Parts: sequence; C-alpha cells; structure tokens
Amino acid sequence: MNQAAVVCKDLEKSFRLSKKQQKIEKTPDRVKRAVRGLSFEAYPGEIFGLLGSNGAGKTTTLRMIATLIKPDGGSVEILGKDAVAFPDFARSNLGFLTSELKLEDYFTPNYLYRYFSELHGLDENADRKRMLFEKFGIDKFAEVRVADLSTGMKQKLSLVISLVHDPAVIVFDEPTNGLDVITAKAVTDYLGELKNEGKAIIISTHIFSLAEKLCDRIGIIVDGRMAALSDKQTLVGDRSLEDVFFDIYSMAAPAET
Amino acid sequence: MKKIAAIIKKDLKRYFNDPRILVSLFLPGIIIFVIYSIIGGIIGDMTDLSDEEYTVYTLNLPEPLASLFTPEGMNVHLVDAAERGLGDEAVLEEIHEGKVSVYVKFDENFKENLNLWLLGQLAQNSPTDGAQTPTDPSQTPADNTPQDPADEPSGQPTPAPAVPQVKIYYDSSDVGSLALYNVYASALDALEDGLSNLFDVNGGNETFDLAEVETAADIMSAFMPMIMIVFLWSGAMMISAESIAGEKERGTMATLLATPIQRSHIALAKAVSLSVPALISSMCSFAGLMLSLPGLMPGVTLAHYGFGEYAALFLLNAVTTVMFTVILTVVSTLSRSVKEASGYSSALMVGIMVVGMANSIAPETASPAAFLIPVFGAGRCYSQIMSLSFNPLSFAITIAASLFYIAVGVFALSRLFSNERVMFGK
Repeated sequence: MNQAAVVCKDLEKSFRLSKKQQKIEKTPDRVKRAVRGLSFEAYPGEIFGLLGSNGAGKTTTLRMIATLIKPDGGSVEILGKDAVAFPDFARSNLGFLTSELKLEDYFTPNYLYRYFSELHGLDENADRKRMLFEKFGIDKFAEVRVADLSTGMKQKLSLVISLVHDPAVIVFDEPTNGLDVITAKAVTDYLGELKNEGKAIIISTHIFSLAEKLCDRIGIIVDGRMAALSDKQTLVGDRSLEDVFFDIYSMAAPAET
Repeated sequence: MKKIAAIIKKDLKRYFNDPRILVSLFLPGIIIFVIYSIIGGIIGDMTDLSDEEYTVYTLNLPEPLASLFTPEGMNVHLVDAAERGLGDEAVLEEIHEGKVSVYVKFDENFKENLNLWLLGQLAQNSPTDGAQTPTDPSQTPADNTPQDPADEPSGQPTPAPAVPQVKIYYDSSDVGSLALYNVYASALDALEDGLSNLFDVNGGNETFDLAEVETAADIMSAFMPMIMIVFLWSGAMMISAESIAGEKERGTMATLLATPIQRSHIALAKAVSLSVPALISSMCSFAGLMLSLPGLMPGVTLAHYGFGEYAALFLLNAVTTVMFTVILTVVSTLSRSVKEASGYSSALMVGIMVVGMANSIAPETASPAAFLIPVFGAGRCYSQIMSLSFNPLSFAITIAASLFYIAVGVFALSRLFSNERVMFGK
C-alpha cells in the first residue's frame, strides 16, 4: 500500500458541557470526552469509512482532520505534515464537506466558485468548473442565487465548492444526508470516480448500505473509541455490515448505554 | 493579500447590492437632515412674527421711547390704555382673551422719577464720594447722600432713590406675546444699561461681532459630541453587530475557516469590509446633521468652520467609526447568535452614551491622559473642534489611541477566530 495520506494517531478531544448540554445529555459530568485515543490512516486511492452512531465522535474526528478544531492529544498528519503545525497546508490539500458548512444565500454558484478559488490562491479553472457543474447539474443554475436553489442543489454546490482546489484528501461528513436518491447516487458515483483518480477519501456515515457499497476500509467508533478497524472484507466476511456493527457495538458500548 | 482582497470584495458586493443594507446606510443621514430641517422650519415659523399684527397697550409711555415698542419687521399697533379709558383689569382680561399681546405699564411720572434716579446715581458715583474713592478715607458717610435715611454709618454705599418701574404683562403660552415680551424686555434692559453705565464697552461703530460666531459654535460643541458618537455607533452597529454572529449562525463562517487563509487575515478583511459601510453611514449622518444645522439654529452656517476643522472632523469620524466597528465585530464574534450580539451591542451603546455624556460634566481642562480613554477622548475632540478651540495635542493623542485600540481589536479578532470554543461553541 502507498504512504498514508492521512494519519490520525491517538486523537483525543474533550468538550466542556454547558448546564443545558448536561441536561440534554443527562450527565452530571462537566466534560465530555468526544474522542478517546483514536488512530487510523487513509490511503490514496481508497475510501475509508468511519461508522458510528450519533454522538460517537465521527464529526469531531473529521473536524480535527479538517483543522477546524485542534486535538487535545495525539496528532493528525496530512500528506506527511502535522495539521496543527501547518494548518494552511492541510486546508490547501483537503476538501471538507459537512452539513454545518454553508454557502452564502446571496451569491450565485458562478460567483462562489470564483470566490473559493481565490481563497485557495487559484485562478478560476473554467474547464474544471464546467466539468463539475455539468456533472451535478449546477450549470443550469449557475447564475441563480443560492437562496433560490433547492436543498439538493445547495448540497451539490457545497460539494463542488469543497473541491474547487482539486484536493488530494477528501473528507465528507455524512455525504448523502438530506439528499434525494438521484442526487445521493450522483454523489456516491463521484466519490467512486475520485477514488479512482487516486484521492484519499474519508467519509463518516451511519448508513450501513452506503458504507458497505463505498468503503474499502471501515472503522467503527463507539463512544469516541475505535472499536473495530479493518478492511471491509475482513470485517464483514459473509455477514452483513449491520449485524457486525451491532455485535461490535454491544460489546464496546459503555454499560449505561 | 489577494485572499484578503477577495473576502473584502465579496463582503462589499453583498452589502452594496442588498437594497435593505443600502437603505440602512443612507437613510439615517437623510432622516436626520429631513427631521432636523423640519424641526428648524417649525421653530422658524413659530418665531416668525412678521406676518402677524399685534396690539400692544401702553400706559404712561414716554414719547421718546415709543420707537422701542414698534420694532422693525413686526407689525405692532400701539394703543394708549388711558385714552381708551381702560383700567388694568380690563387690559389684562384682553390679554387673556388673546385680543391684546402685551401691556406695557410705565410708572406715573416715569420721566421725572427716572431723572431723580439718575441724579442719585451721579451723586453716588461722583469722584468726591468717599465710599468710592479709597484715596480719601477721611470722608464720612454723611458726605455722600445725606438725604438718604437708609444710609448706615458703616461706610456701605448709599442706596439709590426708588427705581422707576416698567411692568410688562404678557402671556407666555402665546408665541407672539412671548416674543414681544422678549423684544421689549431686551430693549429696555439695553436702555437701562445705556443710562446707568459709567463707561462704554465696545463703543463707537467698530465691529466687535466675534461673539455671534463663538456663541453658535458653543451651542454646536455642546450637543454635537453626544449626537455624533451615537450616530457613529449606530452606523457601525447596523451591520457589524450581526456580522460574525450571523455568519456563525448561518454556517458560512465555518466554510471560510475551512479554507487556507490565516485567521489574522480573515480578521483584517472583516474589519475592513465592515468598516466601509459603517464609514459611509457615519459620513451620511454627519453630512445630514451639518446640513440641517443652518435651518435648526439660526445664525449657524457651514462657513463657521474652515477646511482644518472639517478635515479634523473627517479624520476623527473615520477613526472613531472604525474603532466602533472593530469593537462591535469583537462583540459579534463572541456572541453565539445574532440576537445575543444585538443585545450586547445595545447594552454597550448605553455605556458609550454615558462616556459620551461625561464630556459635558468633566472639567474643561482635561489632562492629556484623559484623551486616551476611548469615546471620551473622541467626544472631547468633537467638542473642541466644534467650539473652534482645536487642540492639536489632544487630537493627536485621541487619533493615536484610537488607532492603537483598532489594532488591539483586530488582534483580538484574529485570536477569537482561532478559538474553536468561540467559533463553534453552542
């Protein structure tokens, strides 16, 4: 296998909980350990899936990889460089998509593509823009303000914008969340294409079918810990991913859950 | 720099293509101009007495003084109450009814009493008056005005004979009546001063009309600092207060933070892009205020101030606006929602107003260190410039201090943009 494009080693992340959050989480603890010693790698030309329930720590892990938040312990390396020490390098080589990242309603796809190209220090690549816009059907809405686009079209535009700089590492948090089946298929198909182009892709999901279909390797996170990590064939064997997940989950989950 | 420029360009495109934002930028200045002009017009109309006819009753009016009661530009009809056979009560009733504006009642034998009084004054101020000439302490009090029984042997000045009286009855709820009273009272006061003064100040025909400019400038300097500070804060608040909090709430800030641009550059870009509309808004408000002043305050013209004053005001406006913008952007960044940001900004506005008001109660001669205090220094500088007493040292300290606070604010912003609890905390 090639050299890993992303290396996460002993990642730790805790959050202080507000009184309100304590109430929601039904815990007396003021601090929540969202990620506990997580380690994994993602290689060029593969799709690595982080599978876990809501609140397992998937999104927190992806945010640390994307340098939006810093790990309390451990390290993230992107293409051999520490992401905390060289955040701009990491961001330049990484495309991050999550439902939390939104585009400004006021602007059009054309303008936003140009704007984010500039933020990545690039001149607008017209051929790449045309290819991406056509692939996701944005071309017909290139001059329509984001506010007037459908939810699915906004999601597809966000995906395109996250890839304006043609990054080597792609990190997508729940990439098909909220998409209709047609759009979801377009996204998963494109992820397959990116994989074939040699990109290192990390996705988080709690949709077993998606992970089963797309991922080459899978890490199952339970309560911030890596409960299982293997290539899909070894992990699943002749069983379904869903069955395997629940077996692992029931063994690894804390007693109170 | 290209990335900073890209953010600024994008933000400005949004601000200047959004009709709501555009209206909010220019509207305050227009509203200020229109409202203040209307108020000025109303005040002007209320005090414009030229079109009305006023009846003034007089009693015992000395003939030489008649011209005092028919001032130029006012249509006043003088009526001798005695000739009409009207008593005081009847005249006062007519004032109540609005038929008569003013009743001016001189003492009977006013002229004779006045002459007596003047003679008394002359005697009091005579060079042989012991009380007034310390070079001759041997003089006894009796030498002064021996006829006055009220004279004390203690060497006190001799009281003058009974002062002649003029009584002016008027109705202050009637604009015309009140205006005529003011005119008559001023004229009689001036006349009295002329009769009793012992020497002339600014006598002759030479122009000593410096006071008029100073008075107008003083009026402006008294209320301008407070108004300007509130305008600048409001102008900055319109966009800055909700800026970063809004971007955080909408999720667009996270998208920006995921791109390879340094946090300090984002802070700088945001400070610049938010300052531009705030500056335009503040300049519009300032222009609206200045343009409405001639209508609002008779005697005030824009020509009261020279290029130096306007340049200083422009610079002070600009620096103070940017400082306010940065403060509000920091507040917005610290806030978790637009609602929270608006609440904090409004609360801060009260504080800003208090500091602004401190200008009017603080000693005139504030130490140079006082100009380091944000807002206070700016307010005091406004006051100095508007009262035509520009102090270069105070101004330089205020500008330098404001620039320092802006730099600190931008630095704080860049730190806040790096703080994940601030940027992503719920």
